[in-house]
Amino acid sequence: MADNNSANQTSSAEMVESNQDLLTQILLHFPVKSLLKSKCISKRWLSLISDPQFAAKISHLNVNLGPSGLYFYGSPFGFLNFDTNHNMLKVPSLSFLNVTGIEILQSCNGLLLLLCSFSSDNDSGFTYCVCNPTTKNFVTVPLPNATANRSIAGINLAFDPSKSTHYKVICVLMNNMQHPNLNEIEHLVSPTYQIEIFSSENKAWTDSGGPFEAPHYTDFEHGVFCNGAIHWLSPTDVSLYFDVETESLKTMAMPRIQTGGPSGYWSSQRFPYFGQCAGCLHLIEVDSISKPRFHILEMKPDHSHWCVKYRVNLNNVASEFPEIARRYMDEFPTLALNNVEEIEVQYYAYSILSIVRGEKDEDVEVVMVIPGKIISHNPRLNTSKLLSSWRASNVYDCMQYKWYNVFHYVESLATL
Amino acid sequence: MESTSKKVTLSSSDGRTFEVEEAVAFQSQTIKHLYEAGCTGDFIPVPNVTGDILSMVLRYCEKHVDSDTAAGKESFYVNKLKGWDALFVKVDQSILFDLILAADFLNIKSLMDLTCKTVASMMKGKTTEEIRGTFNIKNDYTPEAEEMVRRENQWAFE
Repeated sequence: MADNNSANQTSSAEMVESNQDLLTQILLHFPVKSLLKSKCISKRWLSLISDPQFAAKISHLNVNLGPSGLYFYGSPFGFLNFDTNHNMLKVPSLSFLNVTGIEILQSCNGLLLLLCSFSSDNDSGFTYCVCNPTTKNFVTVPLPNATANRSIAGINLAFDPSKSTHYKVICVLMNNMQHPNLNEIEHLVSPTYQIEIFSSENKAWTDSGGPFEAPHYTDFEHGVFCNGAIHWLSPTDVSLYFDVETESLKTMAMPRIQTGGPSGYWSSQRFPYFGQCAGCLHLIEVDSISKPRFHILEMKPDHSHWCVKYRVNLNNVASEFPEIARRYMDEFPTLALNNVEEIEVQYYAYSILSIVRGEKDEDVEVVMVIPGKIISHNPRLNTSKLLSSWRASNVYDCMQYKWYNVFHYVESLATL
Repeated sequence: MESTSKKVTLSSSDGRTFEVEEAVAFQSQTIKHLYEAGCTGDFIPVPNVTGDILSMVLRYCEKHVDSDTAAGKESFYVNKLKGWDALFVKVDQSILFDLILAADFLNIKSLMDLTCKTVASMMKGKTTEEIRGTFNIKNDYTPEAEEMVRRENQWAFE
């Protein structure tokens, strides 16, 4: 039989491989880790995979895939493996940076914003740095123009590979109050803030807008980038967000399950979780750690309101991990002698580290630390599993870790 | 509507002819454009695709003919079709590459995605040498250069 694919003619595999478009189509379906390995195939594959345009296409496809791992300070391993994407990826180490100390400030669609400290015999200090842990690319970001009169309140990263290959660093500077006299301290004067933006495109810091006031206790240190905006949590009824594209500062209403006391007192524990995953901004509001039920809220993309996305019942977690449910009596036995009613009260010892979503709606894991363990709970399927056993069996020890101690590892080929 | 039952005839590179409904054939943008450009003789030639491969492609198109309709988008049908697709691409590697070339020539996006995804998942876990073998790629690195690229991406190999 006359066959077109006889041995001395080009095979269909070769024809596909030699066609740049077709090879790209295939490589776009490779996991990022396999792509890194495939750079060794040939010089042509290396140049194709290293092409910034290819990296942008990959980032675009992966933008809503969610993380494949978590960096977690406090865990003895420094990271947690996570497998919602079912590819059991090891989180890459940051040791290539070769500095004395690294603090991750933020993770944003595959890039990390780091505060690196270095010290040698004749010099020491710190520097901000943006790095892609997947490709081991990193660049140093110059310090913003802080002066004696203003200090850095927070520094955040904005990177959306589906829109641009460039990233921006947003710095919030606090204008220090000039020599307040003692009488004025009685009437708390709110500080004013100023935003400066560093763009990787023109590599310089520029002022954005004028000075502004912020809601009380706004946490500029732990901004969350989602849908083109940096969000800063305040435990009050309103929080700020900054649209990076239009450089406009806006407010969003916070949920109102809890109301502030007459003195304007807000519990710092009101929102134990604030974060983003797969392009959605999440928030948890709790009344009290004695209540087993809470909702995970999701912000509408137009920032109009929060809606309930998942319902969590910690009693379901307790059926598998009973150590989460505790009684005050067990922790404070001496109090038991005085007040029997109070100490019978049950509470839940947990801290929510991350909410990780996968491709499907039911792919959601609430990662939390409980005494002695790090676990994940799926509120849709009502399943819980152990992620890591952990030395911190002390209740207080485990509850000191917060969502801002955990950073998503998102695979990316983004070049800096 | 008359168009639902209207047929077109396709002719493969080895001269075999296939009579299919318009809606089936028009999932190929190439055929649709040829037809609209007035190529409406006795048959539409598909010169780059053999009869064996073309019959497979047409089987795929028949299965996917409803996938753009409202009923076809219901999750029950989507899942059923996904299962069918998974079986469809359980073929020899060489046939899979022939299907990619056919999907490219005929411009059928969903078939292109399916076949490329399948090839990509077949490459998972393969060594550099095995991937070179699959595509018959000549290693044009010097041993030193290859070692350097490998070292730069060491963690991916761990």
